[in-house]
Amino acid sequence: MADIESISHSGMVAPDSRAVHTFYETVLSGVREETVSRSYEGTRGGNAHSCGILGDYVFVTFPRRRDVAPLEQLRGGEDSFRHGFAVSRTRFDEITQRLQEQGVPFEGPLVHPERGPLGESIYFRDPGGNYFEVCWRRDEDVQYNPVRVAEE
Amino acid sequence: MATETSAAAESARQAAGFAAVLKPVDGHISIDSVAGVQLEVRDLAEARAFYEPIFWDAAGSWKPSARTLTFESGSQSLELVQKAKPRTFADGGQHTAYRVRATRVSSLAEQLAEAGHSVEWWHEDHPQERELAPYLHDPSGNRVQLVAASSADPLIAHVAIEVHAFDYCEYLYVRELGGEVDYYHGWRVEDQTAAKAWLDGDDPAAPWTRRDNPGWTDFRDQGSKNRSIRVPRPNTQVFLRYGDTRLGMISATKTRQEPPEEQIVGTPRILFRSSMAADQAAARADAEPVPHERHGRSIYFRDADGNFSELRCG
Ligand SMILES: [Fe+2]
Repeated sequence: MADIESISHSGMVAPDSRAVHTFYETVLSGVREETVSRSYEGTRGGNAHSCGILGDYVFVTFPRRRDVAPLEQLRGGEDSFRHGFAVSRTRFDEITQRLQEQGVPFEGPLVHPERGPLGESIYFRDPGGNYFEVCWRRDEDVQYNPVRVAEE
Repeated sequence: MATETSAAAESARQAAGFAAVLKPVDGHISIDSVAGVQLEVRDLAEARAFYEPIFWDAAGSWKPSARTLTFESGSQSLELVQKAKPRTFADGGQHTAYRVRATRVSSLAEQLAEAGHSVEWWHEDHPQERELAPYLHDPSGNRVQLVAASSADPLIAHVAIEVHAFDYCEYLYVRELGGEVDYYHGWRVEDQTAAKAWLDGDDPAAPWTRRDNPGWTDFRDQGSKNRSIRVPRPNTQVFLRYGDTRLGMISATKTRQEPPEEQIVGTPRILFRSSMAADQAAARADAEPVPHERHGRSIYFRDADGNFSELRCG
């Protein structure tokens, strides 16, 4: 049995990779952790690319043209691959409000079955067409798997 | 390993001071404009002879002193400092762009070429620099761009410096000094496409805006079979707006010797103007980790890559 413990990070692609990162920072309160640039461009080739954190999840972004559903298509269809983030119910309302204030189109809130794990979800795309879900869990007080960070 | 909640990890990152680098911090130092540059030259008279025809229709005057020579034009100035071995970056992306009346640009470029200067017509990537423009060096090796404009006021359209670490430099120029990102290059698919076109043909892009630069995987996969492998890439650039002026950060094209780390006041340097009182600006600079020194109404900064700047307060 493979001893894989968890997902470490996602490499995200978009026609404008910095616009995607700016979206994570300004709309979703993500943090740009590092723009890989020093010593990377010089003799080793490559381009500056951004690494950032949303909640406890790491994203690395690269410029690529990719065949994703258009931004107008917010949910479902064959392109239902998405990153789903759970937040507290209070934060869920804040995020919904933030998306409205920033003019980001989203679908929902979708109310899930009362006896299921999820309360509500909203669905939206970043400027590169990458598809996201944000939900709150009915058992939001349970801490399933605390994030471990390396000691300084 | 320690176990922490994501909230604790987040507060640790906040404490490290690099959260939201992109946005100017609340109460940042407010800059009115790029007020000029201070450049090193080997001979003041030789430099004046070079710059005089460029500034021919700029309202302004020369102010000489023992080891410096300043051309003051409105709220901007070019300040030349005499040095036996001037620090210039002749082969890099660092440059100063001067406004010249559009009707004069071609004849001026010809005149400078006839005087023995090597003039190249290139374009850059900022949306306002996509038309061909003349580039040359002053006699000491400072790179000069001539920008076609309706008038030569204000004299300096933009300055560009070389950086290695964008995050650190944005920390100073965006978060602390309030520059607004108005264009970036290298993060888009179309930037990569443009670089391919440059390698394929005769796109006269300024040399510091592109790279022919195989990376590790290119070398690993193809390098042993194809020693002349060429891999075009856009060179990363970020442009910041301060009032009507602009600062360009260009990914450094080579590694250079930096001045000693403890040196904060140095040349060449960018001059910024702020109508803030020096006490107020100094207090804000003191609250941030970027090295700085105050002398009178000026606050001097050194960015993470050894670029100097001076903030002249009101
Ligand atoms: Fe330029």
